[in-house]
Amino acid sequence: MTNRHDPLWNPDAPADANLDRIQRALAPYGARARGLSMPTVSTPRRLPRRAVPWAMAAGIAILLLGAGYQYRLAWAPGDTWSVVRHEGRGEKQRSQLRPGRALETASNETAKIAVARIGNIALSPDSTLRLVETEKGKHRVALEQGHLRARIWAPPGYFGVRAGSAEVVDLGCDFDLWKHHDGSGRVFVRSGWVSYRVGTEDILVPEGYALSFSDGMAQTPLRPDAPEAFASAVRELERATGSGDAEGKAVELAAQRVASTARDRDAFTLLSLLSRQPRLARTALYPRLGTALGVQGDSTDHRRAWEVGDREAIDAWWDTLPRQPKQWWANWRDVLG
Amino acid sequence: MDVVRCVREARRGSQRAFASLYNRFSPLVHGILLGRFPPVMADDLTQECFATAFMRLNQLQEDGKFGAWIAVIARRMRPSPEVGRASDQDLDGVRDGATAPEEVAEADRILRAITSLPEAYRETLMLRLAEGMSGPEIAAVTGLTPQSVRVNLHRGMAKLRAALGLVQSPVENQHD
Repeated sequence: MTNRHDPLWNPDAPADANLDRIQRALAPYGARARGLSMPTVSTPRRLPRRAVPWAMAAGIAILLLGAGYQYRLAWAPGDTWSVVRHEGRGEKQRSQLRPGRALETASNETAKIAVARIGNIALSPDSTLRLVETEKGKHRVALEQGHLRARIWAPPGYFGVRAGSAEVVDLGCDFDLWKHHDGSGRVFVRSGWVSYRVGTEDILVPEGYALSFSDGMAQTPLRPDAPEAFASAVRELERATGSGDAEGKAVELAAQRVASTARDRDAFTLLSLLSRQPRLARTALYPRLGTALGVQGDSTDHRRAWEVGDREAIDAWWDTLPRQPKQWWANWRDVLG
Repeated sequence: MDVVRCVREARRGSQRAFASLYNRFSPLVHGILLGRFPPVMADDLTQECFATAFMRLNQLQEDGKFGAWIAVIARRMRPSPEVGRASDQDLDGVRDGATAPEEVAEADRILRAITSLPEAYRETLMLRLAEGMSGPEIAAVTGLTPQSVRVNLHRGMAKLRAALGLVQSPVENQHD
């Protein structure tokens, strides 16, 4: 008998009566006859075998980064900061800066100061800096005069520089600070954000903007390349609103001048003005800011809410900024150099 | 889609590949389990066996040997106490209204006779008689050689006939 004619080998071949009876009796019990359905499959989604070493390496790298990050932020209260002084001829002198002590640089001297383990300060010639306090999460210096550049990579508020009665608080960034004998000065943010705190006021300054201050007073942040017409219009508006009248004709005209001279890239100046003085939303500043931010609208409800200082309405436009103050970790390049 | 490709795509989470593997190999798994457990329990364990296999798909060393691999899993399947109790109804659980009680009794007698046979014969006969697979199909899904399948079928059938008190076929006797 060939395979083709063998009914055991080929179910289509004629079978004897007994085999036929057995087949028919068992046929209803087969998987297909029973109509079994596939079980619900939860996809295993495991890594391919070749990816396991990479996954382990990535896991170890993450652990090391986490440990390194914690080590970077840790600092015992009162520990000294290391200082390297550079004289004009290129000579180096190493020292330690203790809390409460000041560091002065001569006219031919600069200094590089390690801010615990979270960054560094470059102190320019003819500058005086005092280490006020240092501990994990709170490192404070006072710039008594001169110029410094601070490059910090740490969560917001870890580092701050006192400048007279105000404090420049780092929100994870790279910034310059100048302070003169008369208490005036200027802060310029190279990357990230700083908060300029004076009294109860907290003025945010983003990357690419500078804020000028005199003792106890702060101006609105401006781009250093802002057209003179725009900068003077902003100063004029600040003076007009400083008189306490945010709705007078002088304010309206000054706001109109600011709006007409503003470029789209001056959006943050407009946002800062409107945030500090919400009543200005009734002026030409509001639609000009909407255009600069690319926000659809001049919605009457939103504008009215802004005018009365509604936080939600104001935040809605702040949220359109490409980089928010809380994203300090994005400025990781500040840790280099 | 061939088995190797099905396994690779199933590993990547393709539901279509899972379905393809299930359609191709569910008779094999069910046949193995039907040779060990009552039909209702075999149904439940077939589902459980595939769920287990799909979860462990990354442990399969050679993608082309999915059939042999899942057969090993099927042979190791044991009913949980809940499944055991639910399946105590035996053949009554699979009988539909149109099936005569005599036919159920006959099927029960044959199934019991098959389950009493040695494993190699038991599985091959279940695949042929209950699952309706041909010799070449059995060889393809189990990984056995066609010659082994043929011998198992004939020797197993001869033993089954003897167990059921039926007349031996001359062809089947040639393999003794």
